[in-house]
Amino acid sequence: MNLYLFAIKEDIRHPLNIILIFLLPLPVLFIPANTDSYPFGLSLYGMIIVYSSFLLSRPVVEDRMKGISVRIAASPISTLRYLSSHLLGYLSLLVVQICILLLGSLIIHGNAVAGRLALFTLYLTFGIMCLSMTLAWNVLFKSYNISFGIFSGFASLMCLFSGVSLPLFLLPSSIIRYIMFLPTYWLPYGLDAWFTGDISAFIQAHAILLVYSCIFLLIGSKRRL
Amino acid sequence: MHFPVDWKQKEIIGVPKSRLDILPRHIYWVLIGIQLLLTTTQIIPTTGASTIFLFLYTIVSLLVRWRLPLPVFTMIIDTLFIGIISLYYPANVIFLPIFIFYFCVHNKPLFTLPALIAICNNPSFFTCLFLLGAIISGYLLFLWERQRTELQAEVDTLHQRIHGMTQNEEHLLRDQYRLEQVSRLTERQRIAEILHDNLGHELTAAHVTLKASSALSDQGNIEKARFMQQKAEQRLGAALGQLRKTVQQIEPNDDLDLKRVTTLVHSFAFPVQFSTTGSFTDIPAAIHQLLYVSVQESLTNIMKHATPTLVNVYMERTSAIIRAVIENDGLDQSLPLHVGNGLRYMRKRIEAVNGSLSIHHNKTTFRLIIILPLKE
Repeated sequence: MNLYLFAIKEDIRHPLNIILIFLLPLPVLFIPANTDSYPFGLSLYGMIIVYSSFLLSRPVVEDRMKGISVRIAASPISTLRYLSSHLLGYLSLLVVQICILLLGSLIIHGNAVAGRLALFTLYLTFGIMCLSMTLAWNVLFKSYNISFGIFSGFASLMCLFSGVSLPLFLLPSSIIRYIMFLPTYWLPYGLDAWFTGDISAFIQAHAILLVYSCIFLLIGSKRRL
Repeated sequence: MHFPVDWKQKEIIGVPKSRLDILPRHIYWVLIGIQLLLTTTQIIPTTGASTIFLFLYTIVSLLVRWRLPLPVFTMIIDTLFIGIISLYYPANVIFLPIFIFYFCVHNKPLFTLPALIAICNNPSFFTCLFLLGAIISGYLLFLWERQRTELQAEVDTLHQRIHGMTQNEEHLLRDQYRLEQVSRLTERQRIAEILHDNLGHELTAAHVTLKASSALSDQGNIEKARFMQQKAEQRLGAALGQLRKTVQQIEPNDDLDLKRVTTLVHSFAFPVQFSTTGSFTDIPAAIHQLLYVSVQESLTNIMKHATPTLVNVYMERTSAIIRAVIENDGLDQSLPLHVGNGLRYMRKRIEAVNGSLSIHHNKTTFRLIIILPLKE
């Protein structure tokens, strides 16, 4: 079994992860659609991606806590291969989750949600960013529980102020230029851009999410034994 | 002349682990953080997606070079990218001082030209101030890093030399030990030869004569038996004489050993006052030899590093130790005091027999005190 399949198997072994991946995206679809934007559930789903990424990346942190990283460092497996296989495994599970959400949106919202392929790419980029962010976040901690405890509070606030769990139009315009520095801001920004047909803004959202991913990957991929 | 160096060696070997060691790279990242913060204060009023993108791009450029060993010139590509965009959106020149700072830290003044040209096209008071700060802090950091690298190289060289010397010393001590072993075996062989060549013949002859005397006595030839007995007595007397002679040959000549030291001291170029207390007759040969080479090394050092009016050599023997004091009053103050190889080896040799070497000095006087134990 290669590392990629092992990472997937390790994640789906926990029942909580299966619920998270296959069932948690569905409730947000029942949030009613707006006339001047996508259904708010599509934006709120960003928060589910943030938490899913954190829970899915748990094995990497646990490997470090249990000293498995030291054994891996001594084995012929390179850090690059170990990290890329694990992250690709987690991303594959996120892709499944995104597909379930988009299929659900087709059933529930029908044509009210247009451009599902574009939305898929945006969620995928956001998922990559979230996985990288959790990787970088976990570098700061030695215990997964402490890391998750602080992250849950931090992520909730970040989602609240960046328009993920609260619509952007409800936020005061004066703070928008500050919250633009938050990585989660760019999901609702991209959703709005696609809804209004602003392709360049949609591409900008993609680009910024990818640059954030690069930053977090560069920080998070530093080997800590 | 020479100087006890234990504390100096500690300083060379390295800083204690508990001490907080601030390195240039730490300050580099602190300064980068400050610069990004200053940039943020300037871009917030006009924040847009493109500005955020360039801000993040700058961070990525710096992080990539932190994680990957890219050549410094590759940063020009990033500088040109920001520079070209700032031609169309002049507010973005605010990112360029960070790149200039990077080039200054790596001492590449020519690489800063594209960024400087772009800033000169759209100068502002804040950007110029920011630029000045970036150049000054960057170059100060570069000078610090260079000085640190040079010091590190020097320390490495010293470590290498110390390592080489320690290895040499180990080899010398090992050779000395082997030599002692060979000397001991040679001496044993010499004793065996003397006993065989001189004493052995006489004793064998006496033994045979006594047997013959006994046989003659049994046959009733008393006259001949008595004659043979007298012969045997003569042989045994000769053997006894040989034994005394052999013992005299085997015993070390103590007077001769002390005479060697006396000759060495009196043949010294400067005036020497030499005195001894106690008997030096039954000292182990190895200790005698060590005492001799230690005095010799001390006198050589005095000749090399001092111009004394009087050298005082005093040796004292007690029941447990030998104490030797070598003192001179001609310490050259213009020369730095440090422990050279000679003294270091001497200390090692003395410590190898559980002895000690201490060094005392004041403005003009330099004194070595050697303690050699006589008992294990």
